[in-house]
Amino acid sequence: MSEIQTQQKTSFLSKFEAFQCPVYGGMIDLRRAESRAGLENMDLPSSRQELWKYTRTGSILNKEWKHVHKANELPELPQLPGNCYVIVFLNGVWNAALSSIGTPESGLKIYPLSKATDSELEFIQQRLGALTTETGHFFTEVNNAFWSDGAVIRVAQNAQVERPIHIINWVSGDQSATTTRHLIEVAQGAEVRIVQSFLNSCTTETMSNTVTEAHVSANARLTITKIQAEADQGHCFSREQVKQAGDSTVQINTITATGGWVRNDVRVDVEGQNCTTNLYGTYSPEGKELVDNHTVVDHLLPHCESNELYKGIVSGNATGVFNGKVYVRQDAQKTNAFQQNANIVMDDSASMFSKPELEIYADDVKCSHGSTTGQFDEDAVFYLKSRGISETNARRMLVHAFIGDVLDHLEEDVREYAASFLRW
Amino acid sequence: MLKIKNLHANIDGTEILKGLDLEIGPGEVHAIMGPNGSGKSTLASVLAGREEYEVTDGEVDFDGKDLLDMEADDRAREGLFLAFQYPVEIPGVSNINFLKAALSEIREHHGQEAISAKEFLAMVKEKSALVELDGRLANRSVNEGFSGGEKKRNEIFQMAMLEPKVAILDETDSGLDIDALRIVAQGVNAMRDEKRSFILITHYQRLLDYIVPDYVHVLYKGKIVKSGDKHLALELESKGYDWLKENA
Ligand SMILES: Nc1ncnc2c1ncn2[C@@H]1O[C@H](COP(=O)(O)OP(=O)(O)OP(=O)(O)O)[C@@H](O)[C@H]1O
Ligand SMILES: [Mg+2]
Repeated sequence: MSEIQTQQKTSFLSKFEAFQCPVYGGMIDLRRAESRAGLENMDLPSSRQELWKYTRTGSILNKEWKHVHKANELPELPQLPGNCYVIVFLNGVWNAALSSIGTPESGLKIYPLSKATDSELEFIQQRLGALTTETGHFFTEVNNAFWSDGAVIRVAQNAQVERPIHIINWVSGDQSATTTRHLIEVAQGAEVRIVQSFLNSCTTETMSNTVTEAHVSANARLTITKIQAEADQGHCFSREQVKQAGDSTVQINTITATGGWVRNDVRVDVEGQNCTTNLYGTYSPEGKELVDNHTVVDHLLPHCESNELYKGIVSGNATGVFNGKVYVRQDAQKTNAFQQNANIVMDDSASMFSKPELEIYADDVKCSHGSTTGQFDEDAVFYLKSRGISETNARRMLVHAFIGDVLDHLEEDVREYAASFLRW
Repeated sequence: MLKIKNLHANIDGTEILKGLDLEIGPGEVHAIMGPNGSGKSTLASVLAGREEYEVTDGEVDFDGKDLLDMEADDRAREGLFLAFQYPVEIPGVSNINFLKAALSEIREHHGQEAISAKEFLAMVKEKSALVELDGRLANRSVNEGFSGGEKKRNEIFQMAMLEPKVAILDETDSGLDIDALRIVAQGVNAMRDEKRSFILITHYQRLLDYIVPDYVHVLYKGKIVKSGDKHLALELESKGYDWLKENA
């Protein structure tokens, strides 16, 4: 690392040193300290690294980020249709007034880390940060070292949580940055649906850094749907780090409606047999927006299935990045892994970089992957127009037809909610 | 109803229509024939408003309005319909939803109330029966996986649903077996009335046995080089186009 880079990193990290990080003692502080030390030896992200090849980070690394403790005014937050639990983090800190949890149904615990009771501390000590060591990922490591608050969601054995849980991550204030940390546990045979919204105030430059760790036990089911709808000046990094035990099902939907700079890292370690892992995503950056989806599914044991489908529409001067890795390890015989990334590039000035990767070390598996990038079907636009449908509606119809098979995987209430943010 | 005067049109810098004149009165059926590449589909595309074509000269009056001044969607709302020579497949867009959207936009354009779901379904049932289009096809994605004949019948089904003032049928008969041809003709004939006009682009006199035209024109090298009544089609069928090419 050159001296300039070291200086730049020290300056960047010093902004986060000033964050109010709760002190717990024990493993939590130990892991924090390890991450903080790890950052010393880590290079700043740059296009020379495979992980950041197409995603510029300059606009993040040299800003005067700060932790804005109080949001100036309470935002008007969007709501999922129907009954749900809502837990809101304003600038990375739990907001009681905007949250509505009430008394959770039996078998469900939801609380902010900052309000953890003594009886919960042992669980948190054991689990928080346990999955995100050695990620080799700069922003994850920043979150590890400097997280401020976040949601804890625990679903007890065989509990079927009826209502979806809506986590809202809201950022506001000039140069406001967050480091939010969520922890999810789904015990054996339990089931839960979580929706995470990523939003910001539209007038100022913000940076949200959100890491969600999920431990999914045997025969359990977890669905996380991410809805990203930040404004032009928003920078949104979010990571889901999931560990799956046998017979479990995990689905992660990533719907990126808007946002100046968006980077998602979804990683699922499939550590049991007979698991299902579904990753679905859609994005439609325009203007100068950038959306980068990195995913990893790691199959360690036999008889598992993974399905991955990401579809995007990239227009204007926008950039889309898809990098999907599926590992099928030596012991993971009889794995069915399917991965597909399809894109429409609307304008010559728009770019899409797609890299689907399969690494297979087992010999008796069924795997396929593919990537397509094409143009908008102008003949179809004309066909629809020639029947009296306006240009705008024609294009909207075609976009919905294209991303429809991603949105079809969302539950109806969530799909309706997601659709309210989509440009198209 | 449709008055085309001295129409010139280019594509990618090549002039395809070179001063075309054609006048179509209300309720009339005009057949346009002509050798491959003479500009028949170009004429249809230019009239429907395809943007790749550049109109360099001429004018088109559509029921008192300047057709060339309108966008393709407005032309359709004003009552122009094109049955495509090669209808596109549109995966993921349902035939029915798209027609419903089209009908709503057309109605809105005319300040009419939106059609009720019940009315719409009754109409779908009636019109799909007219062209013997399987109800299941109406519910599938637009033209996706349709056979050639089904695609053509779907065009006529759409025409019946949208009830245009002027319908241009670009080789709707090509490649159809005799049964499918009869069905298509039956769909068109059922819609003929004293106001609605048709332009039938075809290579085969056979179609004109079923849909008897008022006029037949020959389009050659971007111009109408001969016009006549239905007997001209028979003459073309036996003599070919060479005798006209020499005159042109
Ligand atoms: N993009 C293009 N650039 C140049 N010439 C073109 C282009 N597209 C079409 N043409 C030419 O325009 C001419 C007219 O084509 P058009 O499709 O209108 O003919 P047509 O009369 O419909 O023929 P057919 O009977 O085969 O359907 C042809 O010579 C064709 O090669
Ligand atoms: Mg043609």
